[in-house]
This record gives sequence, C-alpha cells and structure tokens, in this order.
Amino acid sequence: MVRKEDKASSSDADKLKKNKRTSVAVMVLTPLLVLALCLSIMTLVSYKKFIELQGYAAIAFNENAHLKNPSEDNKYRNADVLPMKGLTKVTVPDSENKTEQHEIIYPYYGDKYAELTVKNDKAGIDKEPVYWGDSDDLLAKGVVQSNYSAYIGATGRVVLAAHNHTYFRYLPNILVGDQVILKTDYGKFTYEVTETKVLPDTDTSLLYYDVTADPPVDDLILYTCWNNGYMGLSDQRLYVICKVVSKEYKN
Amino acid sequence: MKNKKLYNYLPNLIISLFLAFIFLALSLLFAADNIFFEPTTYTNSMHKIKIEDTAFQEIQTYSEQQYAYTGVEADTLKKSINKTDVSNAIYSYVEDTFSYILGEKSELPEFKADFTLLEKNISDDYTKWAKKEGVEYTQELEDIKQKTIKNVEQAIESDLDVMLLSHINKPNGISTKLKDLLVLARKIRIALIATAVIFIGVMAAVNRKHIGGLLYWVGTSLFCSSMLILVPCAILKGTKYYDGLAIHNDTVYNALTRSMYGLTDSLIKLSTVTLIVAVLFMALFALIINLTKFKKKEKC
Repeated sequence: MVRKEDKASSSDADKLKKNKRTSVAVMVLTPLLVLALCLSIMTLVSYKKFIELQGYAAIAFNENAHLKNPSEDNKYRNADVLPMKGLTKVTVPDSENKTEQHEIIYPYYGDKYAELTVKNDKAGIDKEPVYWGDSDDLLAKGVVQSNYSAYIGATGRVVLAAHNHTYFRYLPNILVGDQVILKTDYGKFTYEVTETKVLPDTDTSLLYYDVTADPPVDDLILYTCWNNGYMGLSDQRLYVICKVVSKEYKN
Repeated sequence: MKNKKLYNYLPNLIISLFLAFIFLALSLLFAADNIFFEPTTYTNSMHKIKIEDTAFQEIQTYSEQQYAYTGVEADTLKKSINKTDVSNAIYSYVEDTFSYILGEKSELPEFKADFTLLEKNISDDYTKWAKKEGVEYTQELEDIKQKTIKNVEQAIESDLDVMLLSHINKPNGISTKLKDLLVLARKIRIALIATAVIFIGVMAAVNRKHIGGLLYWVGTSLFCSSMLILVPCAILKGTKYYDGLAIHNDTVYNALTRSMYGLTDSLIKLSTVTLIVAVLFMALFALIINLTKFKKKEKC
C-alpha cells in the first residue's frame, strides 16, 4: 500500500523535475530572447536608414556591374554567333536626299570590322584595321571607331581615331583632296578630304552631329592628338574632315 | 518547492538589454581603433595576394600603352620603376592614411613614390630626341616635357593607389572627418565605459543575494553584442558579398575586396572572443549554481 507521505514526496519530485526543466529552458532561451529584443529595437530605430544604405550597397556591390574589361568581358561574340545584319536607309551621295535601303552587318564591341586606306603614301595609312569601340586595348591594336558615331556606310558621321605615335603618326601629312577608303564585309565606301583642323582638346564639337539635320550629315572624321610633331602629350587635336564620294554595298 | 535559478528576472532582463547595446557600441569603438583604422588590417590582407606584383604589372602595361600617345619609349619608364619602389609606395600610403585618421600623424598623407629617376630618364629621352630630329630645345618643348612627365606620374600614382585613398585624402575630405569622428568616439567610449560600470553596479545590486546571476546576465549581454557583429560578418563572408564590388580595375578590385574580407575576418575574431567570454561567464554561473546546490545537499 502506498503511503500518503510517499505520494506527496513523489509529487514533489515530479514538480522539482518540471521546475528544473523549465528553469534550464529559461536559462538557455533568455540570451536568445535578449538578442531578439535587441534586433527588434535596432530594426525599429534604423530600418529606414538601412533601406537607404542597402540601395547604395546594391549599386556598389553589383555582380552584374563588375566588368573587368568591356572588350574581354563582353561575351558578345563566340564563333557560333551569327553576325547581326540589318537593313538601313542610307542617303545616296550627291542625290538631293534620295535614300535607298542596304544591308549593314553590325559589329560587336571589339570586332575588327573595316580596313582604312588613305591614297597618299606620306599619310602612312594602308589597310589599317578599324575596330568597333574605343578602349585602350583596342587603340593599341589599330584604328578605333567611337560607338556613338554612325556605322560605316550608314548615313551620319563616322568618327575614327588612333594614337598620334602609332597608326595616325603621319596623319598630319594628309592633304585636302586625298581619297580615303573604308572596306567592310558589306561594302566599300570612298571619301575625299575636304578640310583639316586643329582644335583644343576641350573642343569636341566635331565628334558629334545633329541626327535631325536637313540635309543629313554624312561624312567621315579622322582624328588624333597633335603637338606639331613634338614628342609628348598634347592638348590639341587634329581633325581630318572627309565628304562621301561613293558608297558601294554588296546587298 | 521552486527551483528558481534566475532571480529578479525582469529587472535583470531590462538591464541586460541596455548592457548589450553598450557592449556592442564598445566593441565597435574598439574595432575602430584596432581594426577599421589599423593599417595592418589592410596591408596584411593585400600582402597575402601580392598586390604589389599586380600593381607593378599594371605599370609595365601602362609603360607600353603610353608610348602611343606620348612618344616616350616604354623602356624609359620600365627602367625607372622597380618592384621595391612600387611596394613601398603602396604600403606607405596606406599606413600614412590610417595613421593620420588615428591621429598618429598630423599631416595629410601624400604619395611618396620617388620619381627622380623617372624624370631624369624622360628628360634624357627628350634631349636625345631633340638632337636626333634636329629640333631646337625651346621653352615650348620644355613645357610639353613637363606636362608629359606630370601626366605619366599621375598615371603611375593612380596605379599605385590600389585602395583609392587619394579620394578621401583631400583637404577637409573624408579622412579628416573620420579623424575628427574618432576623437569624438574616444570621448564617447569613456562615457560608455562609465555607463557600463554603472549598469553592472545596478545589476550587482539587483543580484546581491544571488551574485552568481550577475555572471549569467553579463554573459547574456556579451552574447548578444557578439552575435550582432558575428552573424552579419559571417553572412557577408559566407555569401562572398564583396565579390560583387563594381570596380573595373583588377588591381583596385583585388585590393579593396581582399581588404574588406580581411576586415571582416578581424571582426569575426573579435566577436568570437566576446562570444567565448560570454559562454565562459554562463558556464561559471552554471558551475556556481551546481556548487551551491551541492553545498545545500551536504548541509541537509
């Protein structure tokens, strides 16, 4: 037979065990409770600031924006990618605004897509490669075309540049009337030098043109640094302005 | 019979909450002096990835490229700068910047790259060129030469400024503001320590009958303050967050990301130490409780 005292002491023992478990749970969970309270207070106080900072952080730490080198990292081109072709309306030279449609093959950044020749041996430009884009590594390889200028063959201003100690070293020898030829996979385009100008490096007016002009602007600019033949940096630029003579498209 | 181990729970909880924030602030202030603005945090991280070699290589590449628009031979530049010069320039600039912020130096840091040999070699090149081309060495040529030298030096300095510190080292720039902030922070630290002592005193008074509880609650505060630093740092490191830094230049990208990871590692170490101390305090409390229970049993 179970005595009352035994029943009482066993009930006490159960209560003791329960209290022990509760107090251990409280001891373990209390630090987490304090941590949760800290986090809640911090969230309430600094939520707006955090969102603002997160916006800046998203700009600074943006996996997609991390480009090492546009011409290397621009996975614009692999051997299997077909060239981008398109039909474009072009102004027929010497024709009072007559237009035709021709096929142009659009270059990807870093593509060598034309050859430049000046019919004047003293200019020293014979089948020089022309690259689409104007980064330092492309300037080291050849003549570059600014990708804000018109595509070769399209109506607009084509702007080609090169360094004055490499591919355009003898550009100052070019004369008015010299022929300039650009050959691409989709056509051959002939220009004639009409003017040369030396402007300060701060004057970039010739690099841009009004796309809405009537009659439309349709010419070629070759430009490079110029310091009267001296070695060293220059704060002047030589511009060779050429008008369109003929445009021969394959398609 | 209640087996209560945590006495005066609510008052202790509230004090512990305040203490957690104070310990967090003190940890961050400690980190500011000894981690954030400690030059070795960054120089050691960059040295591990041999950033000086990458910067040297960039200067070699620049030497080749600059010929195209300056006409200065690549070899002229290459023979004017060696790896030791590069390493000294990079690390001394970082050390000077953070020493300035810490208040150890009063002058605004400047680049200490020695361009004497570079200037001499370029000048010699000009003299040779003028002779070869039959060009008279006029003032115009001298002006072009000086402009070219300045441009080359600026380009090389830009390659050596791997942490982009020149952007913060302007008069009344960010480094000066940080320096002033740090002075203020040190005053705040004294106030925070005093406040912490007061709060711990109050907590001791609350736990005067069961003084072991003081260890537990201080441990709880330390636990929270350590977790508030440890968890975000661990997430930043684990998710490789800094790898997304939008910088084009490889050398700068590597220097900055490596420095940030080094900084994060140091913060993780600091908060881990704090966490260990917190756990020790709580373990001591548990030991005291058990010893007290044992003594009570013996008395019975």
